[in-house]
Amino acid sequence: MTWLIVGAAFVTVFFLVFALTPARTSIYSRKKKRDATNLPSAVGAVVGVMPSISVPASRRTKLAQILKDSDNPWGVSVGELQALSVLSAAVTAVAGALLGGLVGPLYGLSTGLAPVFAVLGAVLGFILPANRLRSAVKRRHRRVSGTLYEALDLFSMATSTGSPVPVAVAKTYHYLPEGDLRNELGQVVRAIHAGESFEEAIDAFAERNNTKRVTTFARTLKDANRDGQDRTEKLRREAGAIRRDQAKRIKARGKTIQLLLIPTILVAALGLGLLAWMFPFLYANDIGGVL
Amino acid sequence: MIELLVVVATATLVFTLVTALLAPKKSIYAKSEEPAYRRLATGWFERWHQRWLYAGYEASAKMPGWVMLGAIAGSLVVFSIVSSPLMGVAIAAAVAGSVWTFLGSRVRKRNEKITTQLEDFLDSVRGHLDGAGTIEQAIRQATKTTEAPLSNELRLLIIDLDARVTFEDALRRFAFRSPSRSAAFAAAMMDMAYTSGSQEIQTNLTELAKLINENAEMAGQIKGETMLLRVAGRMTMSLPWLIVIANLVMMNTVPAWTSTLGTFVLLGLVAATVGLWFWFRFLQRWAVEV
Repeated sequence: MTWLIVGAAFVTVFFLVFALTPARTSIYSRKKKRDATNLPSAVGAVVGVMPSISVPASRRTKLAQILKDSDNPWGVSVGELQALSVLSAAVTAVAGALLGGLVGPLYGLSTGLAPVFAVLGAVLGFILPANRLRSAVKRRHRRVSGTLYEALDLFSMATSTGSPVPVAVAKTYHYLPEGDLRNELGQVVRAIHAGESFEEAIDAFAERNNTKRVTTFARTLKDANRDGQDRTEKLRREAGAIRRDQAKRIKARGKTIQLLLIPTILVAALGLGLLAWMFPFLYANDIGGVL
Repeated sequence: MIELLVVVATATLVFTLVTALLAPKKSIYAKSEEPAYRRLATGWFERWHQRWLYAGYEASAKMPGWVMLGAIAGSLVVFSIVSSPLMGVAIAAAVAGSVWTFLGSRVRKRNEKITTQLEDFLDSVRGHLDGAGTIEQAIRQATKTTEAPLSNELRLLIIDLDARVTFEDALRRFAFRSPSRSAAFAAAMMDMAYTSGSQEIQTNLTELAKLINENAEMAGQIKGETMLLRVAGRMTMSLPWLIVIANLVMMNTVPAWTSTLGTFVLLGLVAATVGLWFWFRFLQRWAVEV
């Protein structure tokens, strides 16, 4: 029982630290100057004064790839990300040690367990920043894929009005609702304006959002641009296929949600029932001294 | 038994934090360089304002946010003084949650109605275009035969046009006010047809009506699949009221209210409310973002 309490309290502190290190600004508004990061001020200041940490080549490559894929929301270098991981590990290790050393004895645990909690905290804290970046990438992929059919609808309408493919892409960007896909297409449009070829810009978009749907979409765009044929019908069929696929997945997820909801509702009902059962006891006794 | 209660409350608190922090963050969106046809509200004031507009009420940009801040702060201060701080928190949460849920329910109903009406409206626009009018004239004519709630939004669009707002801006404002994503899509399409002056407009309007129908079907499917979630969400939003009612029933004399354990229990209840709300929201998004 006491283990459960201390463990739960530890997880609480751990996730509070998690909450204190969000990306402060969007991945689409990166600062041009490298003189400051997009980390919260206090965290950025500490990371800024931390000594350079050498990173093994294999880990450096991995971290660089994560930063690239995630568009580097914190605006940090590989070394700074490593420093952030160390900082996060240090904070969670201290929190773990405090919990183990101060809170644990209140519940009858030995203070000797404090180092164990500290190590556990350090490990979790160390992997946390990179893990958050990976999650951000996955989320973007999911959102871009999930709204692709809207882009296809708009794109096919733009081509049906006679617009060349690059212009149709720009129009699609212009008319799409705000979201990750619009931001991504905005990057394509800006790259073309900056002098990149259409194919290069689309390839970069497909590489940033490496999913099956996006790859197919990118290939269709490039083919249409290359041979200049009217592919409106094909695009509409593709959008329809994505919709059907989406509907199938939604149905499957609906079933999973029902499965997840049953235990959630049971736990909530159990908690409320327990509270109702305890209420006369709480009412009748001034039990403030118990803790 | 008391230990068990403590464990339940602690576990609830942890559950709250974990689920809250694992929920997808909205803040990764930034305002695009160009104004979008449908904007994502970020921040307190924008969210309340957008919900207010989508529910069909007119208000200045900051008004709904300030009203809700006032209601929350007022409940918090007044009930903290006359009862207990936790009662203040409970009533503030109950007030904010109830208004949010009420607005959400209105938004959903209006959204469904507007999406259904859009098909007829687009048909009507197409019919008027047959008479060789411009798309702007066709919209004006079709509005006359459209019923509320879509007609209310369209009338505001026409007021904008009469006030010499550009066609694109008027459509953009229409899209921003409307709760229906399909309406935003239709507005974008009409603007595209207007600016390109294409002869394909009639074909595209037919295609658009078909797409809106397909999107509505998908929205219906999502609604069906997530119905249980919405019910569970509403039950969660009623939890703060339970605290309030319990306090009223006990005439504000419950010793536990002021004891450490009582405080802990109530904090657990508040945490459970917030946690469940985040958890259901997470599941809702997970179901939709496929």
